[in-house]
Amino acid sequence: MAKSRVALTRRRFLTALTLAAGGTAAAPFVGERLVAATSAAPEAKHQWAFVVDLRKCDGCEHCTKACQDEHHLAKDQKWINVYRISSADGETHPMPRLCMHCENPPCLKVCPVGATFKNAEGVVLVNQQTCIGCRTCMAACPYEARYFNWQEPPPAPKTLMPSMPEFPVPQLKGTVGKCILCVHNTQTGKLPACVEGCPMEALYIADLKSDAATNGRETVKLSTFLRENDAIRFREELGTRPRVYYIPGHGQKLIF
Amino acid sequence: MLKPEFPSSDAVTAAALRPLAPSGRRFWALAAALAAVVAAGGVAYVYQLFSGLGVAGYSDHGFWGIYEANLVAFIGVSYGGALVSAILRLTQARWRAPITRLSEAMAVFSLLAGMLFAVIHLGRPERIWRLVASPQISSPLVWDFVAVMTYLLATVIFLYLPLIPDIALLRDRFERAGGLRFKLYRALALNWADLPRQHQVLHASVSVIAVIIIPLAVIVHSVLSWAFAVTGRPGWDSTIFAPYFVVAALYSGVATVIIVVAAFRWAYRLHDYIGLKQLRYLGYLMLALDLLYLYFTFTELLTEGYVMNAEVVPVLESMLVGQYAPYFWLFILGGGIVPLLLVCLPKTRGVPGIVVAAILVVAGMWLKRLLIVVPTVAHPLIAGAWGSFQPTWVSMSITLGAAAAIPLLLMLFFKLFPVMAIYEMGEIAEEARQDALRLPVTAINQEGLPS
Amino acid sequence: MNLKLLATWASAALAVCAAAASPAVAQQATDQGTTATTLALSADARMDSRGRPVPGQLVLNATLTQADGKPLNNRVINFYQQVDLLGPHDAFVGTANTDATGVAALLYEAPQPGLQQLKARFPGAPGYAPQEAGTSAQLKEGIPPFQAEPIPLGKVASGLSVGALLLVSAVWLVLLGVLVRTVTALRAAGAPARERRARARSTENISQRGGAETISQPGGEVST
Repeated sequence: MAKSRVALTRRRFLTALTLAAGGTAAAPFVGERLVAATSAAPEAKHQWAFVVDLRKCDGCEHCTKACQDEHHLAKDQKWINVYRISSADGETHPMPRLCMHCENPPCLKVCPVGATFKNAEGVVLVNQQTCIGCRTCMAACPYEARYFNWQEPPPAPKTLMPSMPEFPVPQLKGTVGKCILCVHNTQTGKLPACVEGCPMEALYIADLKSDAATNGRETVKLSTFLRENDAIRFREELGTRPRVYYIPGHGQKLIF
Repeated sequence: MLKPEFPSSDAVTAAALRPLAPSGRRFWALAAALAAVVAAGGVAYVYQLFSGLGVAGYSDHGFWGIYEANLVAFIGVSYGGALVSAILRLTQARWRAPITRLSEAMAVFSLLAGMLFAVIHLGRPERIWRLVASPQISSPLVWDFVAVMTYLLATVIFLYLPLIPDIALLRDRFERAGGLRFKLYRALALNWADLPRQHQVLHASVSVIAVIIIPLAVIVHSVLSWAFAVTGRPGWDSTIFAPYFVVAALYSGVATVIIVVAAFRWAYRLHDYIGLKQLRYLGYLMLALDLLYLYFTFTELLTEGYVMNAEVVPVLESMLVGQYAPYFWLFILGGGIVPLLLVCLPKTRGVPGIVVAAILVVAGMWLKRLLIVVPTVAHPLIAGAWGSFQPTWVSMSITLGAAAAIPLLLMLFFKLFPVMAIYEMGEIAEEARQDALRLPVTAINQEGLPS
Repeated sequence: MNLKLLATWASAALAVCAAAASPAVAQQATDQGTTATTLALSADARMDSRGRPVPGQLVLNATLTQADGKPLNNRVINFYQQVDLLGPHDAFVGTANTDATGVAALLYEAPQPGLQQLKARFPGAPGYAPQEAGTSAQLKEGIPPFQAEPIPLGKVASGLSVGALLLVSAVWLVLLGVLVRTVTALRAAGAPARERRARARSTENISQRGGAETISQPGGEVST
């Protein structure tokens, strides 16, 4: 008798609590960060993208050097890194890899504090002022495009600008850094450092909005250029929808 | 069933309060030694704070390693402690009474140690408040944070509620002495006077929490596994990961309960109350979980190895025959098969054998967590050389410090609170006596039950 | 559906009217040993099979003739579009060969609405001087080549988040509720200290235990 009375009370109690929870408790949490905002603002003037013409790349790594000089990076931080891909015939071919600035960036979704974001022009950036250094984004990135500042980064000359997502110089110890597609340059009408530094003219900065890409010397209509040269995106099967396109060359394989 | 022997309540009380008596030199020597290890870990952490995470052995091709393995291992152990207590409580297993307190306390303290690693592994620990201030709900780390905090609340309540009657007993004992200690007991005992109404409320509440804590612990450890699984990296990209982690946690948790129970049994001479029976039953539980874990390991390897997805093969290869193979097979042998045999064989099924098996399991499962984290991280996703994670003196000191904190906190906690659930043991003894009076009826009913 | 079609048709028609028929800026070039050429470029709306203009598309017609007006057959004409990409650039759009009438035609898709500034260039050939011509067209619509695709299952993800939040809140409420309820109930039920002590001294445990037993009978119900 008494037992059943207790059980009934408890059940009623639990039901009431659950209902109360449904009604009120979640309300303050349903904020803007509920689901990661992964799309860039379509009304922005530019939507940056990138093209790597592997037919021209000879693997000289000038792009890596130019990038490291531009952002005062440690030697092991290769925001544009030239991989040596082995093909079936046993030869190796160079393949520069920068941040893919994915449309559906896996790194962005997993950031616990929203330090990684996509700016209006579609460039994936890291706010090193809010990054807590958990490195989940490094785990989530299938392109190994992210680097951690394990030690105090090399000193950078004093600039007028403070370190900010668009110009993270100097890097901050204990936070994650990556290719920023040189947004500080493109904002002022300059080419990204790697494009500028490529002697083979194999790298193109592209704008999806005006449908054009330039390597500094020649400019092409992007959609035509990509279509006619059978451009591919690295690891298309992952659904990340990169904004970096590769024009196959040297017969190397890109998807494996 | 055998009719268990239930010692008189006076004897139980005396034994359970033994740690509260002024401690001898051996106790303080051990406490000092543990405190020194903890302090060394603290010093190492300060050094890491100033020098950056690089001094812990990390690199870009080894960006996760020992701290993440520790996080999983310690929280896993905690999970086992809480579940053992909750399941035994719900199934009304009478032999549970002397060991629930120990496993519940162990659950709280190892959870705290595990949570510590969530902070230690951060590059910018001073910004952890952002997890509360501006969380991004799509992040598995935020899920982890919410889940672990919820679980912490549940384990603390689960430790506290059954403790109330015992605290009341202490309050009454320390009333004459007075002082801070008495005030603490008086505040925590909540006017407990063993009234029928109080008994009824407490019994109901403990049952509710015991019911809630089981799915909660399952979810918490599943969420922990998702921090790995949702990254889609070869080796982690597995739907089996959540239950795999849950079983791993239970397995290592039961083993830790065995070690803790055996240690306190030995240190405070509780042999009369914690018998071979308790350790052996826990050993059987560990045995079943051992088999379950080996089964999960096999299932994961089979599907991956059969499909031979080109992305997964290098990781699998490094684990089975490559650079990580010695560790992997060491785990299978030392953390799986040898404990299995030790508990199975009648000759080694004594207390020493079971404790050795439990120690092997805890060490083996820690190694296994490293093997889950490191090869997947070190494996190059595009091309080039394998990375690695090499623990340094900094990360090893911090790990040992956190591990030493658990026994130290347990020792100090039981300087304040009874090591066995006195009230509950009294209750169960009373139940047993009632059962004995109704023996014929009970016997008939038990025969009527299917197994 | 029909309304929308109609609207696009109407706007495309407008676009055609706007599509400036400002053709042909021909220039003469006289180099040593080469014949001067004339290049004219026009941008016209592209018609579909029913004779309606296709929005955002233009047909670029470049007419290459010799100085005497004779068309030049089978010559390469390159087409460019002026873009603002870190400064003004002529972006290469494509290539077409002239036919027997001297016309090279290329389909052009405007990435954005607005003024399209287009160029045709004859790179020159043995015996023929290079030549260039430009035109512009105003378009009401563009065909953006890259459109933001929605994230798959985005709505499911939001739903899951809300569901998970509700679940977590419920668990917290239950846990805290149990704690608060237990604490308040125990404190309220507990007798004042003096009375409690007196009871503890005078009564045997059994009477209380018996009372508790009748209420809950832990174990008894489950095991029997």
